[in-house]
Amino acid sequence: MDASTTDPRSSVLLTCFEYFVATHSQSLLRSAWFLTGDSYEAENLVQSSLTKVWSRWEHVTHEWNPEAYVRRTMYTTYISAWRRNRLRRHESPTETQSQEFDSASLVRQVVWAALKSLPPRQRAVILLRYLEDRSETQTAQLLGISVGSVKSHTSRALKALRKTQSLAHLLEE
Amino acid sequence: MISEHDIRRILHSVEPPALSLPAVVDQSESTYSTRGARPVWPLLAALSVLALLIPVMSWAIWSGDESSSLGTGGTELDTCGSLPSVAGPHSDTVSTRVDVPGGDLYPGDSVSATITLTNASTSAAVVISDMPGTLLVLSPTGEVVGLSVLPVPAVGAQHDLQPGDSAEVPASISLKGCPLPRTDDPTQFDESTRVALPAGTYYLVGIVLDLPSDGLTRGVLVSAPVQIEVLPPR
Repeated sequence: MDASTTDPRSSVLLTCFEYFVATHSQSLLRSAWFLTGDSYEAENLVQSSLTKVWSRWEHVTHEWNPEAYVRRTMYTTYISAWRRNRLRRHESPTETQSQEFDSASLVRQVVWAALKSLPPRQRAVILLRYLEDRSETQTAQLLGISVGSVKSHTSRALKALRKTQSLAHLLEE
Repeated sequence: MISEHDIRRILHSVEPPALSLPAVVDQSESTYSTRGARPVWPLLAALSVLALLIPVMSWAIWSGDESSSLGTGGTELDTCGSLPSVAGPHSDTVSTRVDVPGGDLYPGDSVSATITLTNASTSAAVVISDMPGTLLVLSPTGEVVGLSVLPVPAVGAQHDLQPGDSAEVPASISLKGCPLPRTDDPTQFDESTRVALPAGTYYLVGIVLDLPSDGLTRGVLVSAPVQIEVLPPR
């Protein structure tokens, strides 16, 4: 992109945005994969979240922690899309359907199968609390729900996961 | 029974398949697309190299041969490196913000800013920096056109950050351009060569070096940019 032909203000915003994407995309993609269980959907989810954030980037950098804002956007986008059934058709991810036999793939399949059994908000809470190590308060802020809701979603999700035999077997190995 | 610790351990043990996100932004339409777009990674990978150089402030990278000039408002400015990437063990857990007091700014003015580190994770973080907080001035095109006064190695601090805690790191910068190497000793830089930045729009970025307790892998924490306006000389 030729900076000389663009508005300087947009140019520096673009530079900073690209820098943000470069430094945070792998972490975002990792979380997105746990949400969707599918590489393509994970990339699409991060892409659509970044699209939304880019349109408000100047505001975001001044008023928010950009990383928290993007994550909030990503999780809420995921939950909203799931509700509209846009992701439901992909809930059986290609990774789990494929015939992969290495141990890493098997672990992925087991964990995703367990996560898949959870409703989207419970899944999001579990990932924020135990994958991203967010506190209950931070999780509530990121999802736009109360701390009490975080606690109840966590409790229900843990109860469901504890019933998952394959996870227990994974721990025994 | 599966405990919360078990769930955390299981999730952290999973390696998702390889994922990538080639990205580009179409400014004209304010849209962002990551499919079928040109990758920006080569450029950004090159920028990240600077993050490794910043900790020792290898001023050699700004030798006369490698420095370049940037036109801003008709004035040629020397550039001194590029924006470093966030790196190190706290890159995802400690957020960095820079706050600049309000008030009119003029070419050559000294600006005091505060770099705030916040531990956004649920576990304690110890950020050890062996240099003072550093400020970079970015041009409207994202090039580094100014730096804090030369950092002094072995002058720094340790920040013990409990979850949610913040620590403030003071930093200051003169609104001047990049220093040039001394003619008698190219490894040293001559502050007197710094010229006042011309009036215009710039961005300030705060940087705190992060020396992990293992002493092996240096990191760098970088704030989001804050816009400043340098007014015409009084």
